[in-house]
Amino acid sequence: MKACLPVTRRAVLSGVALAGAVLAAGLATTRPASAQADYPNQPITLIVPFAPGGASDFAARLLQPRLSQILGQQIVVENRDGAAGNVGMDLAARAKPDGYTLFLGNVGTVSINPYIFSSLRVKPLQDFIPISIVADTPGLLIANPKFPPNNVKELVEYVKARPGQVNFASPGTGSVNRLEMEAFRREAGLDMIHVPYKGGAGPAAADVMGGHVSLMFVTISSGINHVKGGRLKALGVSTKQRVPQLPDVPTMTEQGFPKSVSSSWQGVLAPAGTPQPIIDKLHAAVVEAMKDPTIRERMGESGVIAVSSPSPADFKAYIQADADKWSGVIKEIGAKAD
Amino acid sequence: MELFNDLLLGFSVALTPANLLYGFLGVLLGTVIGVLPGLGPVATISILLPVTFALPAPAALIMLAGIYYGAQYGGSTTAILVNLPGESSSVVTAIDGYQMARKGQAGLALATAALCSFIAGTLATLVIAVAAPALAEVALDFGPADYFSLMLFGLVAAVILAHGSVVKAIGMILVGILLGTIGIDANTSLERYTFGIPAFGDGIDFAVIAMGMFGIGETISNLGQSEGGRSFVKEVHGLWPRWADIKRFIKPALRGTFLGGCLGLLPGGGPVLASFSTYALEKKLSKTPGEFGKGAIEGVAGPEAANNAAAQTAFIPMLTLGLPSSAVMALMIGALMMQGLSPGPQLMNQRPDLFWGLIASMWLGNLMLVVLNLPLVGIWVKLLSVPYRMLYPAIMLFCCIGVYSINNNALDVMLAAIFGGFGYLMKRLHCEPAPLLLGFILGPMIEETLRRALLISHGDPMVFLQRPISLSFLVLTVLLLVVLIAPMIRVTRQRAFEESTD
Amino acid sequence: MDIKLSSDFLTGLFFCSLGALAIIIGSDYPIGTAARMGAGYFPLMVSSGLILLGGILIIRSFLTETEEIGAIDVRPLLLLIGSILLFGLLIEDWGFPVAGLAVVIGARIAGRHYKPLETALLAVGLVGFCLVLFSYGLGLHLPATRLW
Repeated sequence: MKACLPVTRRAVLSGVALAGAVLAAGLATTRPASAQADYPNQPITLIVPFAPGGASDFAARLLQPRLSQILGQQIVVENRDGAAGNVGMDLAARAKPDGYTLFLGNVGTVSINPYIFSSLRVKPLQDFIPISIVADTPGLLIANPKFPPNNVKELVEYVKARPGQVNFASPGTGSVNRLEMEAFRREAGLDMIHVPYKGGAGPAAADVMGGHVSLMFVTISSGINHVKGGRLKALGVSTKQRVPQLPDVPTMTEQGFPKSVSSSWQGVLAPAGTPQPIIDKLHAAVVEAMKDPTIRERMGESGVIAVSSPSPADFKAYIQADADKWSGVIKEIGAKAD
Repeated sequence: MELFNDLLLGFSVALTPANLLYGFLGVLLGTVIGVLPGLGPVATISILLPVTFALPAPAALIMLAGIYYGAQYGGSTTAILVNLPGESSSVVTAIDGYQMARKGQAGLALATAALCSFIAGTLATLVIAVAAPALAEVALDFGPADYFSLMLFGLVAAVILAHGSVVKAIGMILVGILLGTIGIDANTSLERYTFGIPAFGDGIDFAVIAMGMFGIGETISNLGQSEGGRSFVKEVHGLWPRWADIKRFIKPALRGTFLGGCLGLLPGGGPVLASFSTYALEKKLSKTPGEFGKGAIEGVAGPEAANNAAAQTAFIPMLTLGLPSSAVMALMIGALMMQGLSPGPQLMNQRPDLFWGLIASMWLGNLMLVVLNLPLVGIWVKLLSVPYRMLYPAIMLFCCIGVYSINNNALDVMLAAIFGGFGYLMKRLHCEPAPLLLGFILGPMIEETLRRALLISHGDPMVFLQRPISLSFLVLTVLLLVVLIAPMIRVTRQRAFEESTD
Repeated sequence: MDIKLSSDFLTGLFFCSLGALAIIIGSDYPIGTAARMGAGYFPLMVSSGLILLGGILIIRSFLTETEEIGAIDVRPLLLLIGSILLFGLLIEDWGFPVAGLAVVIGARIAGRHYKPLETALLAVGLVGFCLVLFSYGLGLHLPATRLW
């Protein structure tokens, strides 16, 4: 047991420095045109399309200090939340493509929203240049501990015997966790009722804990503590190999559902039109930052895998494949909103 | 004895000079931003959260707790002084608090609010220390059907807030609910009443409507009044509560603490439901219900105690289960994660220093709130002696800054202006804004829980009667309706009788 | 402007029209069933309730005497709302100082006994104060406040 941390002078100073960084967010809005060669010569804004405290914000704030250090310029995290991340994404897509505005996209904003919200003006794959993935969070199939099935095989038998009677929760109609369940449901041929929640995984997971709804997919980071604490049981994990944090939980693949491999990822993108040398420089910096042991450790603690893309093109292909997969599921279930 | 040792550990963490300083800084910053109309705890914490990331965990949490209480109290301050409820739970405080201020009792109202918050905060913190894990289980037992019935009960109770016509109050609640449906429907992702405007996707912000209908609407009617717009009593009396005042507000404060403490455990509308159900209760218990709405001290004491107690017990599901019951708690979880801590059952065992430190700092945050704000009461009251012709342009400017800062969206400011005109016209029609705001807050939750409950029961409405918790609230709702409608029938009969004898 | 109409009648009319408007705009939102409510189910319920209440108020206004509306103060209503709308229109493109001055001066004109010099001083003082406290002191994002 570590004793309580004393407040060091350094911590106080870094607090002051951070307050300064907050102020600098304003300064960054009036910037002169700059040459590519000395890029970056002023603070870089990283737009996070979700509120502080969420999974995307978490990734951004972890990345920020190391990335600032590598690039030699302050990275300013700017939270612009609203409309399932579309507000921030729209803002980032329309920003000047000079490398001083970056976007922290995730599976929802980039691979799912374009197919859910037909009014969305942004076409992520055309309006952004992918730089690198930074975080990969597998999905976890959880259930109330009193729910009879203990693994995916038993679940399939149980639901098949009770078509249309088992309820599953999700953190939202267009959420990746809902689509993961829909994809699995189709693969296994199950008839279940979808009960959507809003406000993140918390309220939905609470109702699974309370036994009001039987099961749901969550990200490992939001489910792991409840599984370890015995309030929820895990039936499967949506990775190819088992995850080190939950070594006893079999993968969906081992249980006969190889298509149930999915991830809630976060990655850095730049507005389309950003010069290639800047993209390359940013890619190298992100890859370097993701090697940082502190970042890897902190992400690992909460069930997030720290990753990076071998090349920007590689990340683009990854997004493309992800988008194809989810748009297919959305088309099949008709979750589109007009 | 174990509790004593735990609390001792907590205070040993919280009571370092540096932590106290951070706590004080948090309360100060929270109050200053929270006083800006429109910026409630969620917006204030969002703005200040990044500042705490660089601090060590105990200091960060203590500072955040301070910001939270400060922002909440800041909202009550503007509600009382200038009829601007900065956040949803101070809507009720505005009703009688502002009337007290107009009678020259602004100081008394502010001091009462601070003291009652402190009493509630102290008791609720003690409850968390003693019974947090057990209470968290209760929160899990609440299913969607139970929430629906509770919210329905809350809406009916909202009618009591109005001091005019019951039919108009119900109508205003429905208008509020209708306004609450604006935005993307959570169940189908369909946009409702957004008129193709992307910014409407998340609905209208509460503060936009509150600023418009309360602040701007009130200012328009003040300006229209003949005595040059000055609507405050010049001589200020009773800056501090006297013994007689304390005797009047202590019981409402305790009842409010109890109700608030219970409702705070539930996600979503905890503090709001708490503040106005306490108001309704006090109005019903009072020997002089006619005073409510005209500056009754009980109408400030009860709701202020209730919303502070609820704000406190809202920490329970987060601390013990890692489940956020409100946007503020979600921010707190984010802050914990940045410190490398996962909130939940393990927190208490893995980092007892933090768990108990947080509880101790909650109480210290409350204490500092009183320490900071009681001396400020005098200054706030002095502000009211600024001539109204100079005060109201300042209020309008603060409103604009506050509303703009919520989302950095100019459209919000323009909407607030429109709601200002709407609020003024509705006031001329003798329709009050408070029921509308409560309908606006509770409406989306009612719809959500209704649809969810029926999805889960596969369309069987009996689910509302089969679940004991839900059934109890429905019975209470029916009783409340009878209490509300009975006098109406009596009056109508009296009228009919009078007419027939004419 | 002094209106000699019963407030019950006008409120009833307002509730009915709002309810009807909501039903018309929402007419293409799917209703669904009780088990699977569509997006239109709940708004339809609420709008219908609103029309019902409006109807009660209108009927009541013919049966019993109710309060009249009385005077509507057009000058503060239009000017105050106009000045806040102006703030909203100016803030993004012209920045906070201009928008702030506009709202303070506009609001002051909306009241009575308007004095130009006092208003100008008040406006400059208030905007300066807000700039220092909120923009510099607390780091709120207000446009065009960091030109120097």
